[in-house]
Amino acid sequence: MTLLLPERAPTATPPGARRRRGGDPAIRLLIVVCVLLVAIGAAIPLIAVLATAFAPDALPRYAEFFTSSVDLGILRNTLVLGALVGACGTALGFLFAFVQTRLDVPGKKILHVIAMMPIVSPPFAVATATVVLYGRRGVISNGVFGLQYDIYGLDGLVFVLSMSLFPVAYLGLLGMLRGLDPAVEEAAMNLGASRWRILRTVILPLLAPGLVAPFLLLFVEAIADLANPLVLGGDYTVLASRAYLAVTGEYDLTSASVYCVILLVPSLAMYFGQRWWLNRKVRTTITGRPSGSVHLITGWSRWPIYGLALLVAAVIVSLYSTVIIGSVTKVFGVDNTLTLDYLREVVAGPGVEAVLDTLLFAAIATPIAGVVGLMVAWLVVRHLRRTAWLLDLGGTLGVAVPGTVLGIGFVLAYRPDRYIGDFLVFPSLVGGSALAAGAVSIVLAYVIRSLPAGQRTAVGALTQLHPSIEEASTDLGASALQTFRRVTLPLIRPALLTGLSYSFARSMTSVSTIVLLVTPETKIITSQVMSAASTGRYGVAFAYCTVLTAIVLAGFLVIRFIVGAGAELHRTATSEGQQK
Amino acid sequence: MTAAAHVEAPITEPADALRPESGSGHLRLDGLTKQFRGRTGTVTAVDRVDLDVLPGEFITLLGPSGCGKTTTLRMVAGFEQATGGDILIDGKAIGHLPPQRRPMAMVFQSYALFPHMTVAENIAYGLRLQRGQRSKDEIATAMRMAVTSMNLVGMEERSPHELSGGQQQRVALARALVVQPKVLLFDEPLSNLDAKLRTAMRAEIRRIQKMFGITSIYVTHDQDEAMSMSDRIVVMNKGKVEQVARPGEIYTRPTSVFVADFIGHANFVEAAPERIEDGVATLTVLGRQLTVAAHPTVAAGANGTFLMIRPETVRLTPVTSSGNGTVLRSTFHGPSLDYEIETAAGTITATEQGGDPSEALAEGTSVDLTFDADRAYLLPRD
Ligand SMILES: Nc1ncnc2c1ncn2[C@@H]1O[C@H](COP(=O)(O)OP(=O)(O)OP(=O)(O)O)[C@@H](O)[C@H]1O
Ligand SMILES: [Mg+2]
Repeated sequence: MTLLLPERAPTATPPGARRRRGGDPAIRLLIVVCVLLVAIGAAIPLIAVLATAFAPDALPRYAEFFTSSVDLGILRNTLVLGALVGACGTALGFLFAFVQTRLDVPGKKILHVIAMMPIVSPPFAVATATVVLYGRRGVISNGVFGLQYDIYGLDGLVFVLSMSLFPVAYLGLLGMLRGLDPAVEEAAMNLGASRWRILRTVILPLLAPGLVAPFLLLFVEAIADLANPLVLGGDYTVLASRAYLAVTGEYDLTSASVYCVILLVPSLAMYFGQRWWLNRKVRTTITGRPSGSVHLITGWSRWPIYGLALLVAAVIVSLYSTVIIGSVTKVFGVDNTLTLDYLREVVAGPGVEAVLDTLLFAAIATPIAGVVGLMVAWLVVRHLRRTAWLLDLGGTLGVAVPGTVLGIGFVLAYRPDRYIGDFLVFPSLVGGSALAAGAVSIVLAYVIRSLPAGQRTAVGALTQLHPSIEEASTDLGASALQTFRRVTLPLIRPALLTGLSYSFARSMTSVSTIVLLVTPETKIITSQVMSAASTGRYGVAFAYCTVLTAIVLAGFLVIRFIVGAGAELHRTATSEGQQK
Repeated sequence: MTAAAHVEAPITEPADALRPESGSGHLRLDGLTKQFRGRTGTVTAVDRVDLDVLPGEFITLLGPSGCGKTTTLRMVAGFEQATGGDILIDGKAIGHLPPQRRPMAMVFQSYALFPHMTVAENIAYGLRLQRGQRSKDEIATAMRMAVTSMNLVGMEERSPHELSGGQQQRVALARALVVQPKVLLFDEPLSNLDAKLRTAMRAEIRRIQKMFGITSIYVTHDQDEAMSMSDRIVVMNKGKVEQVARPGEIYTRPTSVFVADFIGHANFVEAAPERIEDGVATLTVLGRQLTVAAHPTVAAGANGTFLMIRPETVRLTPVTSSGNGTVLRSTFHGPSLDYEIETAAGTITATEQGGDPSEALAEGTSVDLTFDADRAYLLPRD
């Protein structure tokens, strides 16, 4: 825990801050670096998409789009998918959070771990496992229940996306349920309310505002997703997969840009809607000092709820076991003979190149994303006033803008060499003749896509950190950067750890931007998985996913080792204590 | 002040005048015990507490932090399951009932108002739960009465965070009162208010409590609060009840050194009684023979008994030679001036009300120290 103060520390910068910013060249340099990175990695590609989408020759496409029943169907598909995944994912998150915080049942720790598993899940893993288990000839759907269920389409997508994305909702709601003042529930109980009535009249109304944010976030992530619609979509086309097809199948960057813009509208609206919603001043408790204790439900009514959570957990476990088992059997469900061929192909055969490339790029991108995210957060929270929101916004573009859109932006902005006169000023970053075979743009995309994770956690930690602690350091004569290094950084180490871990996981599993940037020389695991999965070579796909997951978990350990587990600093720590 | 008035048997029964007409709301704790089992072993938070709270009585649980006040209160409310003993209301055991079915209402330290409901909805919450027994009109009438008696008129439609701390406190009280509980429970309800408001709210709570005649248990660690509000005070220490008595008696006739020390300030002088007759001990302190009131368990000739001397009963007279004490230090507190005096019986604190700091006795001054023997009390060793 970092040093937390009971009330939210004021986020406003102390009066001396602006003088300090002007006077400190190091901070100016920092601002320039952050701004440049965000501009090259996010702003310019986005502008390139917008420029293409609003170029004169693109304008007639809008008329076509809004009169074509096919295109309108795609838009409707996208929105329906977002809404359903938002609702189902939030419901699943609530279910698990409720079980975790309010039921007196065994095995909650394991349930928590299972609910967190999808966070490190490689894309395609869940989708492919779903096809194998619950598809038309699925091991479970057909093998156990004798069904011939067609999983391709909306139902499959909602299932897979809800399963993969709900941990975000779960974590948010878990924090919120834990944050409710238990005395409020006790007061209701004390006045005679039953458990069910408390859930209905107290918990749910108090949580209702908290359900909106995860819904919107899942909506954004669902409509931005490219991997699952490609594997599982069947006839169900969404904007992301349509735009991808326009680039890779039809080489029509103009209509790709148009699809992108139409996808951007709900994405950005929902994403910023979500942030606005979270930043509103909501009061869930009336006075400080929560008191009382949580009363777990011990009656019979806990069992059906628990049963439901167990069922979902079983499905999650079945999906992940399928990935692992599928990577060591010939054709899981059909020919269950053990084989190490697939794993060998990945770690000792043609796949090793992709594994090493991916690992290298992610290893480069993670520290950059972590540090830049932290820097952006620090600048935003402490050192910038009027321009803070702009930098903050730039930093979060990597998650607010769908990956496919960003990828198309990279293609548009960085495929050609840029000359001024005969002088090459900006070499091509994307495509066959790209600088370092496209590695630069892949690393850049990794950084931009994973930067928001670190930035969010760091902003959260910094706003909780009372500015007086940093002021004490500056008072003693430390420069702003010294203060950051000696005082702030140690205090928010846990946030840095989380941020870096998220960044690494996001880089390793990132697919929607990357598939547009890979070149024959730079292979990336996720795009290998995609080609294996879409050609039905499930064993290889599973082997890649297993290796990928192993690398991500190993990466977490390495990051933990490098950053340190984060000193346990308690509330009682004083600013004087921190100075030593 | 004369002494005779204070030499009387400790009062454990409250005055009859406190009993409300209805005669309901008689709460009894019978050997109530709570043990928490943790990783590091078992903590006995509440240890065989017996208590008889008469209908309409206002009882305060007072004691140092961690002595088990909150745990006791929460067992009465049903939020904690007792590990031993029982709780009876009007003779009926309720220890097995869940909190929902106990006829009590609690006012929480954090008020625990429902933040998503208006003041009116908060107050009506408990009434609506009794819908089977109450019509809409009845609910509205009860609500209006509560709002009026609690000075909340005009605030019904506000949300709790649009109220001041004192107003929130009153809403919490109103919400608890309208369900007509047999017992009202308070857990340090004033600790989030500033000093001035706290004093005003004490009187307010007491006024309302008397008006409705509801049996009340009030937890606090503020002895001033306990003294000024309670019919009787229960002093607790390490999970056990040390003394149950009226405020005046707790102060003048504490039953243990712990209570004497916890309530107000006290000097303790070790003194062996030479003779005891009818609760009056004869003993020699600082070279003078005195007669003082003694705790019933003190026996003649017993060693290690302590004479409690309140600082405000000590008088100092400066002398030129051969006093029985020397001034060590003086401290000015505004309304009073405190001296620490070195004597043959140890350091004794004396308080001079309205003392002028510019005329304070200088350090090293020789003084003749006397105290009001009528207000001293001989206590057994703990
Ligand atoms: N849930 C629990 N688990 C273990 N021990 C507990 C628990 N709740 C209370 N205790 C212990 O029981 C004892 C009594 O606690 P309690 O909260 O009743 O004290 P209190 O008199 O209300 O103190 P305070 O004035 O600080 O509020 C303490 O030693 C405390 O550590
Ligand atoms: Mg307490």
